Amino acid sequence: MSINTKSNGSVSKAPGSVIAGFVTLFSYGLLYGLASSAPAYAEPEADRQAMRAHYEKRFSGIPIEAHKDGVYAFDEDAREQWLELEDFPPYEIAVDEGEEFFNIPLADGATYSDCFGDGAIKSQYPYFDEERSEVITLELAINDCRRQHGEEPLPYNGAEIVRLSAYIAFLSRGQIIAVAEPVSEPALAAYNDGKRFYSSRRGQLNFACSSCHVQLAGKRLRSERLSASLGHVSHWPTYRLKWQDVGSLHRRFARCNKQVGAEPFAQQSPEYRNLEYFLTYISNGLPLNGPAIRK
Amino acid sequence: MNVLNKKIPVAFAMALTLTAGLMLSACTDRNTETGSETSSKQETDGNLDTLAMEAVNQAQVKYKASEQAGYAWAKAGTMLASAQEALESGDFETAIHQARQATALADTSLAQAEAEQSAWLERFPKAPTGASP
Repeated sequence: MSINTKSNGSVSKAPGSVIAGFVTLFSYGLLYGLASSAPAYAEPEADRQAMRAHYEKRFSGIPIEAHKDGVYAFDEDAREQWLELEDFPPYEIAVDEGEEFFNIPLADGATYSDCFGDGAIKSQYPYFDEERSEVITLELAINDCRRQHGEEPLPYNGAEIVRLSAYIAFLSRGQIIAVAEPVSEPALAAYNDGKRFYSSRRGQLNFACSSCHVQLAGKRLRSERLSASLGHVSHWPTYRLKWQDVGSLHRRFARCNKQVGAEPFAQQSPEYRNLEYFLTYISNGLPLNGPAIRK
Repeated sequence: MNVLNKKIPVAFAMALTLTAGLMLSACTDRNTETGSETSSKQETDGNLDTLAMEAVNQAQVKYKASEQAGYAWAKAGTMLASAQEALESGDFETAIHQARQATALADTSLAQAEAEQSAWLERFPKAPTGASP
């Protein structure tokens, strides 16, 4: 492989190495593409039943619906501390700010209520949009609404979109998660992509989401108890004591990826939206209870 | 001169000449060796430059492949960035060292991506007996 050095010190590759690079990239791209379209062994409803049965066995005596509270469903000490924090919930300010944002007129004079009615709509998300052939999350819908009314989309890692969704989550408390079963081929592909992501080991620590939240659920990882995945999506956005702020579900996904030494994906990337789609589907039947507080 | 000629045997004079010759020769060799060391160092520096660039390029290709596969490791990215920084600052030995480590990490992450193509399917809880399919 011959290499040329540009005058500015940057490195340029000779054609041979460029071709070799493309071949390598193509090979692994192909490999990933094949993996993405790999058929799942079970239908989504069978997956959901399998997960429920797994947690019923592992946490015997704890109702499935209780997992909406994460580790507080089975860690009594942590639950007591959490309930005390709920006396003066630190997410309240974010909800109030979200309400203000919700009612500020958009560029054409419309407000978010023109898109979302009274705002109690969180249980409608995520869903698979057959026309667009992609998973639509609440955050994506908020930016769609802004574009329709002449506004620039909000950055997904910014405070405004998190506060808006915190307000919507607050209005939607008590609604039951009821994602329609993926039936069409593209919807099933998105669901299976999320399921594959959830079950695939990644990062230098070689951990899958399922390593902690299926195989080791209920056990301790250093000082922390590991929660069940049912209910993982019910309480977002969440005020994390670690963040000292309200943050999104995808921010948490990214943090989990970083914790195992993997490069995280962007918030609202197809990977994380498909993961959210899968996790929300298997949590069908649980009530929404966001925003919440977590460590 | 006569005195010298008488007192110093011919053999001794020859030995002295030989020793002086050897000493001069050694000095000459030493000078030559120093010259070749300098020349070799210049060549090595040149090689290091190329080797460092090759190593960084290889690490870049492998890291991009792992990103494309969706299995990039954060540490590989950090090592690659350090290697690029070292290369730009002319610290070729560090650049090579860091780039090779980045390549090794990226290679392992690609092996992980390949293994996970089928391994993930075995990790999901199995449907309970009697559950609807």
